Amino acid sequence: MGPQDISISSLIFCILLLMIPVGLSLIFRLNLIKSLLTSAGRMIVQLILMGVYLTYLFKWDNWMINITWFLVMICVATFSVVKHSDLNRHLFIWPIFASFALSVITAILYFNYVVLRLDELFEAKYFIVIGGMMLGNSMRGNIIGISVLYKDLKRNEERYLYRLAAGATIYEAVLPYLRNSLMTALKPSLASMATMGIVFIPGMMTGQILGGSSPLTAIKYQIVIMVNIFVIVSATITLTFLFTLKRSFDSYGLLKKNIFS
Amino acid sequence: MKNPLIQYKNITLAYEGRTLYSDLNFSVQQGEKLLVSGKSGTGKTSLIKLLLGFMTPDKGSILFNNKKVVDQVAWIIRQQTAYVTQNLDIGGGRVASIIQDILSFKSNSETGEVEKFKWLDFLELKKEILENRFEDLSGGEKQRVVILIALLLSRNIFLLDEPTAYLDKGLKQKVADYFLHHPKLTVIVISHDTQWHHLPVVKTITLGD
Repeated sequence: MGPQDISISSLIFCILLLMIPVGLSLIFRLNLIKSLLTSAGRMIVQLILMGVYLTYLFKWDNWMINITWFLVMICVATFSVVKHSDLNRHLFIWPIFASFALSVITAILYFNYVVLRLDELFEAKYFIVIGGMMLGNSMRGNIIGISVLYKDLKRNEERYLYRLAAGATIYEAVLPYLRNSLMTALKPSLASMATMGIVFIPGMMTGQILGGSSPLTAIKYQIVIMVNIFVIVSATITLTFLFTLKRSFDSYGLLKKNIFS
Repeated sequence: MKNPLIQYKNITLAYEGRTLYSDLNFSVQQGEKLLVSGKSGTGKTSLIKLLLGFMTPDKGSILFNNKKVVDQVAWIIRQQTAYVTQNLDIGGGRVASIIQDILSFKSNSETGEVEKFKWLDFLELKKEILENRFEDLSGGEKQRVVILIALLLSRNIFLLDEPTAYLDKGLKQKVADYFLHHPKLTVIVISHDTQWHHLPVVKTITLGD
């Protein structure tokens, strides 16, 4: 039993609803129309592409293709994190990629093997879809965490130097900054966990219920996803921190000047 | 005469396109007290930053125990000196946690908080201050907490950058007297306060002349 399909003409009717914000933009002179149209256009094109590639990924369901595809997704996520955090691409691209890959792949394999007990660990339906969901949902936290860490260090460099002068190792001196960045990155997840199920029905649950799953199955998946996002954000930030520690500071323990792009 | 503990040799330093000093030479023997004076912007703080390896000179070298200050030596210096910064923004949160945090560094494992109350008393701070948030303290209180931490590190070399600027007269005198008359301590102090200008106990250099 699948959900009621939406015909192309119905979809067009739905898109026509955008006339309302377009109208509002005209009335209030929001200058929103151009960016609204490009964003909506991008969304439609990207989703069509996704529809196409998911169709083929499900059809082939080959573990090598699935893994390669997933690595490409991690690559794109890495670029996005580096770009949005204004960090030096050369210095950060590999450490962030490695941290992302390590934490997300571990999480998804743990989920598939221990939680779902799948026979085929790399099955597209779970590996790509659930993995992609974990990746996407942990991205905002990672962007916040990683940029807060280094921006904070730069802005409050005097505090950092004071700690070095008091005999701290780089690790000891950076610890308060790491703490702060983890807290900042994890706070939104904490808040959404606490309000989960009260304020709104999460997208994945909606999808599963429409797809015919029982609400009880859907909430179990939701719990797993929320836990995983939390784990992935904390692991990725910590790993990125550990992987970049050596490259970001010179032999005197000073933050290198070329950290930011 | 013994080899000096700290020796600045032919130091030239430019900062943001301006030469702060060229061919600067001076040295500090163990147990000696050096007062650095000069108008603001003459690079007094930079002298301390050079020793701690936070800046590197454009020319010349600094010797610490006869070893040239390069990265490895700078890490050792940071473990053997106690720094009182002019910039009082050393951290946030409870004063007690800040102190505990700094004393928990591996290289500070030999030090203890046992003498905390003695020094609190000396600096005329109440015990309750430990429970206050550092950012809520007044300038004078912050300065005394920074001095307190430096004292708790139980090191013998002190790098003091305007350590008494925010203290009242009586306390300025008390703090200056302690550091200047303790024979074991080697002290480099930057200050405008006359209480430190205690000849012949200190030798002085003036920058920017």
